[in-house]
Amino acid sequence: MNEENTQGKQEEILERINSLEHELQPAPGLEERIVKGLQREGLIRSGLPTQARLLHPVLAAVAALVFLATGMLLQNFRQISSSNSMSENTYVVFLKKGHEYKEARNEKERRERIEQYRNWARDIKQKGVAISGTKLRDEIHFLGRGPTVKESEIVSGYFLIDAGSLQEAIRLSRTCPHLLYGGAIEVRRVDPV
Amino acid sequence: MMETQEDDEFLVKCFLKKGEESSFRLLYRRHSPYLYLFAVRLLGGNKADAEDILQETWIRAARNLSNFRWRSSLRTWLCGILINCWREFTSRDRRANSSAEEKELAQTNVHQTIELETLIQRLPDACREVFILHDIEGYTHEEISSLLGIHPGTSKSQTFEARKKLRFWWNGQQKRED
Repeated sequence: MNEENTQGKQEEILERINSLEHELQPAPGLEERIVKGLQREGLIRSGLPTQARLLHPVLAAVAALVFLATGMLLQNFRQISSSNSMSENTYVVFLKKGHEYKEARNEKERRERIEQYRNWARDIKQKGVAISGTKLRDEIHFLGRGPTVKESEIVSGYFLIDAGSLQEAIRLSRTCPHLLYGGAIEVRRVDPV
Repeated sequence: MMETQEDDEFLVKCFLKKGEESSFRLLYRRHSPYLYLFAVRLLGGNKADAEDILQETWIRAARNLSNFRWRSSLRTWLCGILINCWREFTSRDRRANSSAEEKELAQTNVHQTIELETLIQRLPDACREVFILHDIEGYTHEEISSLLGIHPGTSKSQTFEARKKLRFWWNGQQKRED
């Protein structure tokens, strides 16, 4: 009976343990303190403001789109935007504002972000993955019937990536700086019918 | 979102190559929630001290990332650094005083309803460390042995001891509630 009781208590505790949380967000200011500390040590290259504030969402969209336009001018980017060159391995990476997008505070920050997106795309390309992007204008025209698109769902730009699989496309997209600023990304596979 | 080693490798590479702030921030955000709760548990619930430990962990990690050989996952490596920071932290004089205060506080909770987290906080440091790694975070005794520099047998005995204490306290709490 004692053994059964012990076993029962152990199982009860184990059940509780399994329901324990595994993550807890530290205070927001801690990240900034650490980044500043690393900047002082020269381990982080200053290039990004340590605080990003929310401005009007349209300005953030402009920042992302300017980067995309700049990306198109970089040499050696293979264009895969024409339907003739799209394949089953082409994935569209939609950049959306999401609910928590942090806008660049000023022109300097926008340029720094552009540089980050550029570096990211360049790194993707250096891995041997074809990538391109395109700018979308701010004006939106809705046609037909349907639910109103929420501001967080508006696509501000997109990349086209030739990845070996959906998993690879997702893996590459997970490192996109757009997520750093609280944006949302949607990855869709092209269906070349 | 599941963190994969490939993602970590990519971000670490960008950070090391160019000192990219964005890459560091992404790494920080991917792993800090896990590391922070780990530190909070190690420190018996003290969040302020856990933040200090976490800060020191990331600074040491950034300094030594170029020496990391990917023999384990990045998160496991970061846990190892955090544990070292915690051990140094708890060996300092001021920590001895706050440990006494926490244990006194824990004692005053004996007659109140005690949640499991509070019971874990009451465990002795060595027991708590191993218990968190094994029973909560799922590390094997071999991995714990490597992380903490102890024999796997020690890890097993500490886990056994921790479970025994928790069972005893839990049983005691249940009787008081009945």
